[in-house]
Amino acid sequence: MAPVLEVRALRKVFGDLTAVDGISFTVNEGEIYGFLGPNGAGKTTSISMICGLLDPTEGEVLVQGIGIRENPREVKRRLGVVPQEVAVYEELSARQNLDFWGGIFGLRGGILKKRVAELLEQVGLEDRADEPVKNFSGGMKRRLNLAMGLVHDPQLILLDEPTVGIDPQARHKILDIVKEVVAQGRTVLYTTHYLEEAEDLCDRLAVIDHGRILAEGTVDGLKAQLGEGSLLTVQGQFTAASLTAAAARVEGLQPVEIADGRGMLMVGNGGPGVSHSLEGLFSAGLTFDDINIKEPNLEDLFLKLTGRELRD
Amino acid sequence: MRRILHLALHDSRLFLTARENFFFMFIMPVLFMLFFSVVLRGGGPADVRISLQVVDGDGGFLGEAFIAQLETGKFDVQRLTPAQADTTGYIRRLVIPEGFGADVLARRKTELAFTKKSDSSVEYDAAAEVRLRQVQASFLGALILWNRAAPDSAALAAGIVPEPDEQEKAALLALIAEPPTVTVEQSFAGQGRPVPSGAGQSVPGMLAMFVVMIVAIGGSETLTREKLSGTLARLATTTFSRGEIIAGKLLHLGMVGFVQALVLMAAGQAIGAIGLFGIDFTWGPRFWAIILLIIPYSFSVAGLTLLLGGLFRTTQQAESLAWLVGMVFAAMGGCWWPAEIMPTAARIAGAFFPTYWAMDALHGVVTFGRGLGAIALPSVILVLYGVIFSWLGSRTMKVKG
Repeated sequence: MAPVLEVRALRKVFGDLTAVDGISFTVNEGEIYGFLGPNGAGKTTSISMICGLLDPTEGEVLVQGIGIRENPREVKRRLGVVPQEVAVYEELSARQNLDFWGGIFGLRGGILKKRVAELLEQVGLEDRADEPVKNFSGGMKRRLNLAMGLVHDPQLILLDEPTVGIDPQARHKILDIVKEVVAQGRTVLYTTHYLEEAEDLCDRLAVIDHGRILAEGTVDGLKAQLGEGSLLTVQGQFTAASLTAAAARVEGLQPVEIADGRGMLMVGNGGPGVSHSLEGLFSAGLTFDDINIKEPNLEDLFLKLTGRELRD
Repeated sequence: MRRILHLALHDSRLFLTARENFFFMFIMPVLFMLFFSVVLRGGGPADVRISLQVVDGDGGFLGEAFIAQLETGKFDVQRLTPAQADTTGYIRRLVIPEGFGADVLARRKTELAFTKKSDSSVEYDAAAEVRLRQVQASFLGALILWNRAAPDSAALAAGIVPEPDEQEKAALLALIAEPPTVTVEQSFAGQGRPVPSGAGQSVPGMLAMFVVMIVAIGGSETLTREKLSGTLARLATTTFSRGEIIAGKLLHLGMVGFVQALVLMAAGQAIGAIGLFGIDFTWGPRFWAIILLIIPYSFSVAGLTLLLGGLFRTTQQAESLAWLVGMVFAAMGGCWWPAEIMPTAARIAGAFFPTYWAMDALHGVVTFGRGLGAIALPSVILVLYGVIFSWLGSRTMKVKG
């Protein structure tokens, strides 16, 4: 698959703050590429540079081989941007909003009318199409926000946390629309700090924090970085050193993240198992207030990579 | 250009979507125009009696007759004897000399002395002087019609000037009471200009003020809201360049200002034509010059609004501060009162406001009936204001995130 988006050593510095620190990645045609990271990780700044809203301090952005610095208009024609905030005209109806944004990209007459009608149906707003947007619920506004980024049928769609602040039902609707759009041959760059979304939606994703990509790959590939097995999380009155020493004496038990009073350990498949591992820890004299056993997920990976939780 | 127009028409549609804008654009300015035209009607020296202290050094019948003539000439006369005059302050004073009556009857030259205090109103002093000339001419006309025979040379040589009898006195007073047969028409020569008053001041004043008010308040509030909602940043992610976005915004704001001015032109003309509340007003035969003028004026106000929209951080700031800016521009530009009556320092400061130049041109067309000559320089200055404000506005307007 040819890359639709290539980002090379992209960097953005605001005074003393390096918001994005030399990230590079490619997004292939028909792919949903996720940017997973907490608030302030640099996701929105990256998106802003990719869509030409911010000038990079360093680095390069190519969309279908065209550099945004060299030919911004050609690049922007290929982009559909859905910003994190609901950037719609509340006084106008959904149809008027879509008419305007379609007109911005040169759609006119019957073509525009047809495209607007298609989108209204796709996002489930055809019944309320002529009502002022200010009367809409948060979820409906989010759907319109998404539709406005799709009106000119762009090749690459940049979705910046499109489900923030809405209920689960509305979120599922938006995720379904994104999947439909990709099924129609479009490519998506999707930023989120919701693990479930990233796991459910993205073909590949990058874990980002402090402006750097910490890990990149498929969801399964990233989870595999933690190892195959079960994840054992313990909390209690112990030191990091005592837990590390105790874990080292248990076969098949790998420390993932250990600190005073809490620890995360991987119990490898094919080994003696969770019960045996716990027995080994108890026999070392450790006591625990809380024990949790689960399948590893991206949150655990993030914790391993950064030493803090994704929602910190 | 089509893309810029697309943006401008969209913004105009947004503007008209807000129903309150119809009230602020079409109803409130007309009500203000009516109100101020009525309130300011009759203002200025042309329509009031001017106070004048008269020191009657003559004390005879002709001195009294002249004072009666002054009273018909819209003077509010305070009559004093020479002894009283020594102890009384004054603003404007006319002294009728001793022997005035005898000199007039003897056909001898006599001089009236008019003095005024240095801090009296220049405007009212000028009007008083004009009226004195008019009274003088009217009095002379009455004397000619009175046609009293001059004393013979022998009597004059002996210093004898016979007093008119009661019948003669009554005849002269009757002539003074009638409309004068000799009148003096007053007009302003050269660069002299009358001070606008009544509807001549308030109709152009409300036009200039409401173009600023409607565009600056509504426009800066909308621009600030667009910045905050992200729609402006979203526009910047499209194929529109920053320059096209700015141009589209300016075109929309300019169009609103232009339409507002046209509405008030039409309203002013209609009010004057109907004579509503006795308001007498017309834009004059060269009204087309005003239509030309409001193009650069609307541009300057559009630029100002772009600048305000760039500076404001919240819609609350836009609503309150833009209103304040509009008030200051209106006051300093002479929209509420004629710039001619402002203190010199305020008048100089006023020249730094676009409203001042708009009012200058509007008065040139309305009061003097001038055309291109009245609007040429103000238009150039207004375009310069528009360019400067727009440039500053485009620098401060944070289109991108």
